[in-house]
Amino acid sequence: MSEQMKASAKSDRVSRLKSTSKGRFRIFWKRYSRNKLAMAGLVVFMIILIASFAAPLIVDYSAAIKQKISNKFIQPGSSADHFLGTDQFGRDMMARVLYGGRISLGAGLATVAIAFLGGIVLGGVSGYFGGTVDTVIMRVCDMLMAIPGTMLAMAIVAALGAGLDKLMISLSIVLMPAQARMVRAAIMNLRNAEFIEAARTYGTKNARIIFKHLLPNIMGPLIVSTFMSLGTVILCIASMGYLGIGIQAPTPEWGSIISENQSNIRYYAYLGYVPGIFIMLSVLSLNFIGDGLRDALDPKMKN
Amino acid sequence: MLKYALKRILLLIPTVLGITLFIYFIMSLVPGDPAAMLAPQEATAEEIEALRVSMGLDKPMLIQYLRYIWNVLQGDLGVSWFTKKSVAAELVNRLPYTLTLGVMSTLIASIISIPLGTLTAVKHNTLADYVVTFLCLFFSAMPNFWLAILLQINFSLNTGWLPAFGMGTPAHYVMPVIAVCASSIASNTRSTRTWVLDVIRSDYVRTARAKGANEVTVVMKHALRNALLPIITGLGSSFAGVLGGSVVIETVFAIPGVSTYLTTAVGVRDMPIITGCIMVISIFVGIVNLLIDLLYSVIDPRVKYE
Amino acid sequence: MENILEIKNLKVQYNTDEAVVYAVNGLSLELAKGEILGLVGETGAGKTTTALSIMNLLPDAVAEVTGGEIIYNGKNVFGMSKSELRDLRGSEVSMIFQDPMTSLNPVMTVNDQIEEVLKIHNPQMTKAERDKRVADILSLVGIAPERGKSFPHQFSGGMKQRVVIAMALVAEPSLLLADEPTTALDVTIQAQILTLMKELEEKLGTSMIFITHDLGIVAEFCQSVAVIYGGEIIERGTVEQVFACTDNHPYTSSLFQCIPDLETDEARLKPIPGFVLDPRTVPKGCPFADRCEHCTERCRTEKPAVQYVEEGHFIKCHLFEGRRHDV
Repeated sequence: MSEQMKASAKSDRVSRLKSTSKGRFRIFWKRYSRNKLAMAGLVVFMIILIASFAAPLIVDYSAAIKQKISNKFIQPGSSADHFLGTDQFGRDMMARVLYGGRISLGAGLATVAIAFLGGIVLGGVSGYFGGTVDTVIMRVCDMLMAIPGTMLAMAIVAALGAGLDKLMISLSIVLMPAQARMVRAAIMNLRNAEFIEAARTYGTKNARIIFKHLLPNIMGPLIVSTFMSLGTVILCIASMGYLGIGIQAPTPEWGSIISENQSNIRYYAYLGYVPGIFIMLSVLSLNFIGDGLRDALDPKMKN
Repeated sequence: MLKYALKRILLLIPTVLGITLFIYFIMSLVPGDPAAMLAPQEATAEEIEALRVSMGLDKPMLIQYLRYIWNVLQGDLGVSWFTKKSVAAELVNRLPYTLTLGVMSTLIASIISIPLGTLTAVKHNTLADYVVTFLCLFFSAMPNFWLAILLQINFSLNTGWLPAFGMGTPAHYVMPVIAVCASSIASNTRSTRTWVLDVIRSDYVRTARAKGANEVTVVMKHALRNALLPIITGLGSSFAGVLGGSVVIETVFAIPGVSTYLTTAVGVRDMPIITGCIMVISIFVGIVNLLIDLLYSVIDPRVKYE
Repeated sequence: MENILEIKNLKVQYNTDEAVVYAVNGLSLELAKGEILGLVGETGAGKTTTALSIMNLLPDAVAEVTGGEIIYNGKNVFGMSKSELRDLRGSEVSMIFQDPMTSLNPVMTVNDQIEEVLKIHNPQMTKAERDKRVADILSLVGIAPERGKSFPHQFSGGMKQRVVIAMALVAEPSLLLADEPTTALDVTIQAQILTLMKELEEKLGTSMIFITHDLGIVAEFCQSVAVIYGGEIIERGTVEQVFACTDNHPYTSSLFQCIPDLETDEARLKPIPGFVLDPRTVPKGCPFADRCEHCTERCRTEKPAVQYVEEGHFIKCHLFEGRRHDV
């Protein structure tokens, strides 16, 4: 073989190797952006998220709280001041839904973030150290997973006392076991994987193995499952809000908006549709995002 | 197999002990005195103290817990802090509603979602697949209580076709079961589709095709039977999910089940009721999971329980 | 001699999200009745795709036949109806798959899986006859018939491969496609399985396409050999013709140079330079041009035609234009 050919073959291989580490995000984004539903989901979710967190720029908080009976039951679209109409107390539905979104989405994101970190720590400790620590953590996880999530969260909220922070803590306790198990299983699997063994044989340091080899390989599925669970968590917070657990009136929250209007939905359907559609759109778009992430991060799982 | 079943039932005991201990532990972390909360407004400090002693709250958490477990072993789940009624008696009255709702919903969800998921897998990337997948996504994103309210308004309040509240006749179950099922059907159909697709692409299904088996045999005999294994494993979490979903649904339809009992108790922090409900529910989830494991061993020859 | 199988200019591609993979590019191959042909080539050369095409068993979600036809006993398999295909598969043509570990259904007993072939193709057989036949074929492949009640996970890899072979042979097919049946096995078991297949072939007179990348097995086991590269047959002849002649297609020659020779004292084997053809492109000229030491400008631009160097032995290479070994 000519020297030139050898050199070109070598550079070809090197560039292939480089593209896997350097352009990882670019490849991911290329795969993700090809998925139209996932892109639509991302756009819709970002709009709802930004509108909720920029709510003070759009409507005043007092419009969501202050009662003005003379303005009650304004139909959506019939008044320039109340684009989505008003409820039985004359409160602006748009304001209530947007400020409610701050709670529903904000609490959802915070819950999932806590569970994500907690899951990595617990699962990591369990998988890395093994032995008794592992047994104890996994037994506790099994135990917590033996109870329907909503019921467990309710019991924990009851024990801790009412409040949004308590609700978030209880929901992340509910989510954490599944995350921890996943991290543990992945680490257990990878610990003996051949490429980790290979890294060890050429003397790679432990830290480098963990950060360069283990974590990137666990991250994909973990991020996917986190996004998938965000939708469930938002539904769960809405259920709690509907039952009046965790969030105190008159603070608006999507689930509580539905429950406070329940007796009027029959006559004023928009009172149910407005918050309901906001919940559905966010959960639906999150599911699309989750699907897109899964396909982009792990093409093997695609069907 | 019997020995295995017994062992699994015995394993439920530490789970139940753990879960109740967990609730007691969390409760002990929180400052605040239930006795002061329960005592009448004008009660003196001595009266509150007396109440605390009578509730057993003066003892350390672990002693309270051990006393509770001792009572549970004798069939006594304590009394409600507020109504002073027996928790066990109340649960016995309420359990049938919640369990019927849960079992019926799980069964109906499986009966619908397994064939539907198989169908979408076999016809994947066709119009039928897209329509079903879209409906699944739609219903899994819909809050079940919202669906319940819509059902209640349209099929009961406005038309009078079905009873809107309470329990009693089979007709009372129709809307609650639909509302609880919907998201289960949606997610089970999607997971069934994934499993069946996975199996349909496996080598042994190709082997079956290479034998000259027709498509129905390939799907029913080779693909579905293998795909059933993960599907059945999923039934356990499906049952738990259905029970979790029933929490709101029981409230919407005013069903006198365990979930409404729990919901009311959570509002006023009536801990004996909450602990009792969680304990009973975890036992039933454990039993269902055990039944599923036994069913699994019948279907999968690789699993043998000794 | 009459041909049992004729593949004419077959083209198959796989359409994936990332790229289009051209697996088979104008492959033509004829197989006479009773012939045992070794199909030799590197991984990714299109061997398995060709075999699956013969049974029309390509994964229809991704694979696409873009041209050519496969004539089995005078009938094009791509034009067959579903029921004609079902009659073809298993009873006329059967296949031994590469990986015995995953080719058996884990929830069915071995007996049931073998019996299924008979149930499909010999519906007139009684249960007792079928049981007898299954027991016979099991003992033929060296498995005690009473083990048939076991499930695949209770068997070792070699035993599973025997089961796969039994399943492929139970309906006495006229054409057997063996896709690297011994690659997943230990060397000692390899030899047993090969001996077994040879005996069976002598007994039943089946035609066979034996897919492998092991030239040693071809020399020992096959009557003729076809070398596949880049999805086309580049050399085809009897084993004697191809192995004895010193003037082969450059790719075949390099394959031979990759076999260690214990008698000469050569220090190193000669590897084939360059990489396997990138299957995402179809070369305009000869697929081997990039790696060939005799490569000329013509090789890169013009597809070489089939050149018969002797009766029944062709080479697809410009070097052999107008040359014959036997004159």
